[in-house]
Amino acid sequence: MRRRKQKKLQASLAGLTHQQLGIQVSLRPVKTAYSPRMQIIDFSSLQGFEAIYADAFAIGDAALAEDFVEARFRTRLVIAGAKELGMMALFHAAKVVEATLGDCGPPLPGYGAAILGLAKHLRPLSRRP
Amino acid sequence: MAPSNDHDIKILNCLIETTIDSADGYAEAAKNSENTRYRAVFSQRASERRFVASNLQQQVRILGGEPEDEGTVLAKAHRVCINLRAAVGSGGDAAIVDEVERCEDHIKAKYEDAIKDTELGVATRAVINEAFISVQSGHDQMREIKHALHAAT
Repeated sequence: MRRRKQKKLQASLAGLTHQQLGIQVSLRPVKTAYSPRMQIIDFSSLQGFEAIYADAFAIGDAALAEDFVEARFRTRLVIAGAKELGMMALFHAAKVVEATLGDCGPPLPGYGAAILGLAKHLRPLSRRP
Repeated sequence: MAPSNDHDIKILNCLIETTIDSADGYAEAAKNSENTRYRAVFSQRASERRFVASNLQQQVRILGGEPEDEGTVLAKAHRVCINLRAAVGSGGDAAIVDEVERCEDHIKAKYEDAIKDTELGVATRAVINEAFISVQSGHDQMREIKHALHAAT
């Protein structure tokens, strides 16, 4: 029954223009919530980047507060995240921070430069489309 | 007519040579350091520099050139950082860091000259800028370590 009704409707609509059918056609592209470029973003990677950024910020904050246990922990999270996402420049920069912070006690001189190096590796990534 | 990549390849190969030299310098410093923590930092910097050199080599290949590698660099006489052991002798970590910092000054100057080069292509410049982040961070870190060690003695 339903198929017959559909066929009947298709036959009756066949000769009609879109104006006769009351459909408005716009030549402008349809605006969606996301641009086509945004639609191809892998959201799991995006969450990974977000976590790396948050951890990198936390390394700086912890180091400024002289909480080097927290800074070491966050550095290890950045290393793991960067390795998982294949961000090898960031991975190497974070490994230098890890070596500079050491396993325990006060860090070696130059830990500030190492953390800045890590931050500079994050900056170009944030600009990349 | 497409622009020639020869200039970019020449500059990149010069930087590859310097970067491999600095990686070997760091590896040498790691071998000779008395302090295990400095040793860890030097070896991490060595692997970071090798990664930077591999990025530069990749760009040379993209441009259709033949990149310098460990073998070709080893064959050259004018290496600045690899003679670290001979220069350091038995001066301890302070002497090693002094020598590494001298190498860092040398590599940083080479990169700064390359960045000032207006004839470089956009892609090559981007790769060099990214590599320079590691170079500058290494240079600043060694300077801080050097100042701290000299202040302690």
